[in-house]
Amino acid sequence: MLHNSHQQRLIINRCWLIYDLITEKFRHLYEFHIEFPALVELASISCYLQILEEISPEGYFLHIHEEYDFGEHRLQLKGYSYNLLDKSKHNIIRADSLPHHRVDYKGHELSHFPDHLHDEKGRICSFTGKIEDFVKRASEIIKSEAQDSCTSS
Amino acid sequence: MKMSKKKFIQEISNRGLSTDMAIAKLSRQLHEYEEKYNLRSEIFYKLIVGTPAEDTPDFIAWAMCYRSYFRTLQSKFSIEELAAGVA
Repeated sequence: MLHNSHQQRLIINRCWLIYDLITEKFRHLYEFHIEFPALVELASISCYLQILEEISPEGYFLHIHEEYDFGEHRLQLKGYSYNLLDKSKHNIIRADSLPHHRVDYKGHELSHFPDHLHDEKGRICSFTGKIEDFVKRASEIIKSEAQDSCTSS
Repeated sequence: MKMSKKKFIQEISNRGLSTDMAIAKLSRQLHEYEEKYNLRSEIFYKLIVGTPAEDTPDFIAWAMCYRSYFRTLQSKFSIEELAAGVA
């Protein structure tokens, strides 16, 4: 339990941002609206948010982990892992902030070290660290796959 | 259907998850990782976290879960100790 209701409020606000983002970007959400408050409640006690949600008719999943900390009355993202999974729950892309990569697959320094993204080919790419950018990229991949399958059929 | 922010906050406020229940949930998750990899969480954390081997989706999540478990456990005991001191 957090000792400070201000800290709980900060976590709830962060979770609202994520909820708003996901529900704006993806329409194919089954139980998300019902299940999400329970995930937020756990996050507000443990400072750890986990979401695994099916987001498209093709069976794509979004798997999000965020770990929170506090400094100077502000919420800080201590760690995160954002994953787009296929219907077999295999990773397609993943973003995280583990400091094990300093350069991208072309040998250029990461623009926002330690934030980086493992792309569809498993290559290391620069990434801003913003969940908004990850969700945008995931959405583009899903749209492109849907277009490809329409064209081929 | 999408909730408004007001409804969202109400939904969270109306729930009754205790610290003990949160600890139990995190503990169950740790056990699932331990079974899957046949490795105790303490050993995993000592051997893997902070090394390049951590760079897999499961291991990143396992490490976060482990830290969160202890953070929640610690806060529970600090509250109980505080309450005992007052009594």
